[in-house]
Amino acid sequence: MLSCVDLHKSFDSVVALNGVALSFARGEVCAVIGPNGAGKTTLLNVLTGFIRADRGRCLLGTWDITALAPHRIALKGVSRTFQDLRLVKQLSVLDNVLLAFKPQMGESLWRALSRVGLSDQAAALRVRAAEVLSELRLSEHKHQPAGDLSYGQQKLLTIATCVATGANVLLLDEPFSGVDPGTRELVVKLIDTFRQKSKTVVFVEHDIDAVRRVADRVIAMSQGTVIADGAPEEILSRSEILESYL
Amino acid sequence: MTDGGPLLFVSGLIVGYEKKPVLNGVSLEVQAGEIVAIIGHNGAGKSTLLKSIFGLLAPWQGDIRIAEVPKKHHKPAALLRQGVAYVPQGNRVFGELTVKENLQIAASVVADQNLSREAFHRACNLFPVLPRRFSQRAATLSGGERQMLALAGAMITRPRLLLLDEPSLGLGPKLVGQALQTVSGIRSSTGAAILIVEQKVREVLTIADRTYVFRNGAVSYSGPADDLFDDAKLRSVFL
Repeated sequence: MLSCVDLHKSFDSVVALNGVALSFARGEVCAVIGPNGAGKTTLLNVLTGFIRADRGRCLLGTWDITALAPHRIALKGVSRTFQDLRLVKQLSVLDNVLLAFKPQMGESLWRALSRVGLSDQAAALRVRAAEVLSELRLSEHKHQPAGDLSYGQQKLLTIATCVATGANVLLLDEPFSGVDPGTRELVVKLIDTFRQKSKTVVFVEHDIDAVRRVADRVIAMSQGTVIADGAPEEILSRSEILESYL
Repeated sequence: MTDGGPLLFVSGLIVGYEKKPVLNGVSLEVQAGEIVAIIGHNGAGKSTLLKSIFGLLAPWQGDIRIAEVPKKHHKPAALLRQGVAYVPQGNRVFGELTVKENLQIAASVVADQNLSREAFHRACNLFPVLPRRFSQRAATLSGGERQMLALAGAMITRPRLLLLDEPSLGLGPKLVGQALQTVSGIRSSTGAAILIVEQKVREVLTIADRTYVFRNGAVSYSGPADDLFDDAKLRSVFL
């Protein structure tokens, strides 16, 4: 579904990715773990076009997406969240979700001028957005500015925007950090739902209990390199992982 | 401050966003040199409290005093010069500036050049990774390194009251314990009182003297941090 070959990326003298080659299958839930500075977020940034690799290629199926802009990659069905959330904080919770839907038919010039079918379409999108917010238990906040939500609620909203895109590949940067136990359970269930819908989920995470619960596969990174890749029970019991990271 | 009085005194605080209240009459105290943890669910009002104390949100009702001086309408810049530092969630640093420039900006808050230099060196000793990255742009640091830079910047301002919003956010399992021990180290080396919001509940209890549990914008429990080491009690007040 999504893969990369021989990815290299350095920031000044710091090597963030050093020959990373990975492949993620349809319906797979894969956790990327490793100490701070291991290159985990850089990997997500390169896969989604936010950072250009110095060398290497990224593929979505057979499409080469290496040089595509982030919005082009998103339109091909790869959606992501960020550690620093990046919501439009002045807009309402509902509007943030509406913004995430793919460009609609009405956004063509002719449709916009003719107004044919626009109100039906807008109404349908609002219904769908309300469903997404309900799924994420954010309905009661839908008219509040996104910036007024707590951090944990904003984190849920970023996942809601990913859901709204209808993407088949979801890259989540630390979905469990900064959330309370109840929200944590909700995120666990959501990721399970993504798996049931055969979506590919790659998530960077430090919460190892959550990794054990939801991941089918764990990739451990250190200093820009993949040092282990396999089933959670195997990777999370290796002594070198335990010593260096846990 | 006056002998015996709390360094931070908050009474009957009501504040929110637009017309929706988030805190519904919160009262709490922090003594000089004390570490006080605030725990609670997402949306309980923990971060809103810190923003109010630091002058980023104007209280609707209630009283905020630092060393017995009312601070309800003070601006963040004035509070910073008076020894109150705030590290918000999400390791916010100046991404386009280098690590050293970020720390120099923090040091510029301290008027006395000798004290400023001393605070700068003390922070570099506490976070040895930072001097090694002096010339690197902060935006290219990892999440954990940016968090250290944010903490170091706050420490350099020589606060007597440090407000920390989830300093463990985004840190790997090993670093969470280290970061919280560093927070404890900041108290030991500077004598600052620390009011810390954390979701890593068990970890923060190991460094806190006292704890407040927030629920729906109000304090639902307060007491010595040690009391919540008992799992059953922690579950009853928090989960």
